[in-house]
Amino acid sequence: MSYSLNEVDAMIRKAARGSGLSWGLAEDLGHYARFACQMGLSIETCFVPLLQSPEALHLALIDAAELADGALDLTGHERVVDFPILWLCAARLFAKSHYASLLLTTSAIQLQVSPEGATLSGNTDTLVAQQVPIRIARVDHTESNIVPVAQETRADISKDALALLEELAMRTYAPETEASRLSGAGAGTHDND
Amino acid sequence: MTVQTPLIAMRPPSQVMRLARMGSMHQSRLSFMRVLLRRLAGEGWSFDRPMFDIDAKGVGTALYRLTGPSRAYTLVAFAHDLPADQRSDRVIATAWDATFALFDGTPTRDEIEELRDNVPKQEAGRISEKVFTLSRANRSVRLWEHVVDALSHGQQPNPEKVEEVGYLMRTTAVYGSGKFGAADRDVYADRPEFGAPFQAEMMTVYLIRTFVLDLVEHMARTKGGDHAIQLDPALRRRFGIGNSTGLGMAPFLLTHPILIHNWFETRERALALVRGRANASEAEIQNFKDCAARASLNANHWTSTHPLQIEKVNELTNDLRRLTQTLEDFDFGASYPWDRLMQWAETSLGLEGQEQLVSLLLEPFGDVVDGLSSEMSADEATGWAIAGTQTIGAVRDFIAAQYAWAHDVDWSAPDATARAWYVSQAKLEPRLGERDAEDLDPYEQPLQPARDIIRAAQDLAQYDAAQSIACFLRDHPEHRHAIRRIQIVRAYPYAEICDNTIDAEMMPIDFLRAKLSFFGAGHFDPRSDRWLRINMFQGAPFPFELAAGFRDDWSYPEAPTA
Repeated sequence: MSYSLNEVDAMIRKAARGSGLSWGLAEDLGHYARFACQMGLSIETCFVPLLQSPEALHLALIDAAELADGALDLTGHERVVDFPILWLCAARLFAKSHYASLLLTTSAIQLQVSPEGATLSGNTDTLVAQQVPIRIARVDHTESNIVPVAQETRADISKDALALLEELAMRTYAPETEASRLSGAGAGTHDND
Repeated sequence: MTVQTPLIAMRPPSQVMRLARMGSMHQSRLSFMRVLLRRLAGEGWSFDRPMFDIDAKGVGTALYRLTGPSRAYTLVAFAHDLPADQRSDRVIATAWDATFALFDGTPTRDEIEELRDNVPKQEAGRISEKVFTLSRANRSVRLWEHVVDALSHGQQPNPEKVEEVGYLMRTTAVYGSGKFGAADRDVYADRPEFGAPFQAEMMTVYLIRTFVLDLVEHMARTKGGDHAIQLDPALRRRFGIGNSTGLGMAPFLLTHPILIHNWFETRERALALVRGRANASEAEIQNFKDCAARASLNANHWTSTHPLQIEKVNELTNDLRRLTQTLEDFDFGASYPWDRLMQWAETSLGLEGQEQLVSLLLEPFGDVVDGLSSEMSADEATGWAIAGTQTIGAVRDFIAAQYAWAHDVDWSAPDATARAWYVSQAKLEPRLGERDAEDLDPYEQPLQPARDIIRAAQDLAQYDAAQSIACFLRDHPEHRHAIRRIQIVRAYPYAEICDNTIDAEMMPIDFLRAKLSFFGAGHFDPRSDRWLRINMFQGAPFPFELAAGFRDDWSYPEAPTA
């Protein structure tokens, strides 16, 4: 079924919070999911597996945040990371907020990002792998050769993936109690005036 | 000769962004309903009704279309025959008197059928990117039956009853921006007609109102045959569209900080521009006095049964009486008259009167104010990135300066954290509960910036001021939400509500009134401290009347003719 990217962002954010992440990191993941969908990547293959390893996801998000927040020396940064998808999305956020172009490479994929867009090539199955050597370098904006491309505005999510996301999101909802019923929030059930 | 406009300081966020003041706001020239109608009239948008296929029971389909310079938009309306016992003000329900979608362009027959399979189901249905909003409404039974009955017997309805209720249908939600599969706002944000905030939603409500008035006249004709008459045009305009708004809307003001900054900052800038005018012309003075008199009339029409609102309406009525008296001998000839008037209000009127005056001061100055509405939208994504290289010292200094009021709260006192915002499993809606009585800590939403920022400040105090905020966040990722917010507020100072949003005495309806006044709603009628009813587009011309000469003063009632 086709979903809007606002729906995707909210679903991933809630599921991430439900998996135990703090709100700030959960918000990052929702935002990253939006970027991934814009690049035409699948929520099902890129994000659902991560949410099933919440402890590794927690640590990987903290690592990738250093790139997103502009805290890394990008003259040729090399490290071994979990879940390269997070680094792709963090690179996209960095490029937009710092008006910069980056080249991000692993043995299987290459990502070029500029403020205007991104091009990804290689085997995207490796985007959710762990212990992946990665190299990130800032490149001259004029040499990045990124042509702005139309971004995807929708995402398809299967029923199974949706069920898993909703199950995680459900953990963030408070069960109704007698007190909450009494404090209420709206009108009476029947209101015909 | 060029007239220099002196710089009059804008009212600071610490004065403006207080819940009690936000809960005293009124519609103005910058309200989104008025922005919409100015555009429709100014650009000569045409209106037609390509379909009105409604049977004698009031069941069927209708299309209402607005066509502008580049594009057309169609309200697809499905009218239903709803048993009375299923009618509810609740946002979560399963059946309504009417359901609606705003469609990009003109739908084909197949597209209408697809909408018919989904729109009446609302949350249970799915819509496509060609749909911008989804909505539903229920009849006000007491007024609906009275109007159908009167018209069917060849009589106009009782104007006092019309004024008392003010609408024939009340929406329980107008969903936009990607909900239930609709188009994200990003998809159409670059279209000029949607440049100001919430224009698709306002267009939806405006066309719903047109449909509802047509429907009630249709039902009267069906019932009365040749005896039936149509509504008198002046009385017809007195019908708005009601809306029930609950807690679900309150978090919006906290989760869209850049947008909220743009709304409030623009309004304050408009006010400062007017206050900075050295002189007032006769025409400006007359326009202002006319609007002030009509605002008094509006306050007199404002009915509510809620004690809090009765008190606020009384305060407003008294403030407007004081304003009228002051205007009788106010020296408009001395320099900076509008600034002096506002200064007088700040020491002589309550919050209701002060905020009403802000709206009134903008009225004579459409040429100064109206163009600012295009600056009220926002792309929240622009504030998303955290500046990791900022020093901890800089963040601490900003918290100390901007959140001094939050430092003054005694966070160990039970009342300071008595409430918690959460989402209920039963309704999947935002709620406000009693933290301890309902054991809500594990479910708390991040909607208490003051408490969370003070918590972050306590941990920041343990670090060297020269270290980067990225270092801090590596150790304390739990503060990532708060640090992001602090950095947004640093760039967008009107983004933050300078009050404790989880205090025992906090009034959720203050959030609602602030937002709804920016929409352009009137006659706020709280039903408790956490939900209220409003009226939208009351007094507005109908789409087919726009071409005949539009006056942007419809949101104030006409003074009675002698």
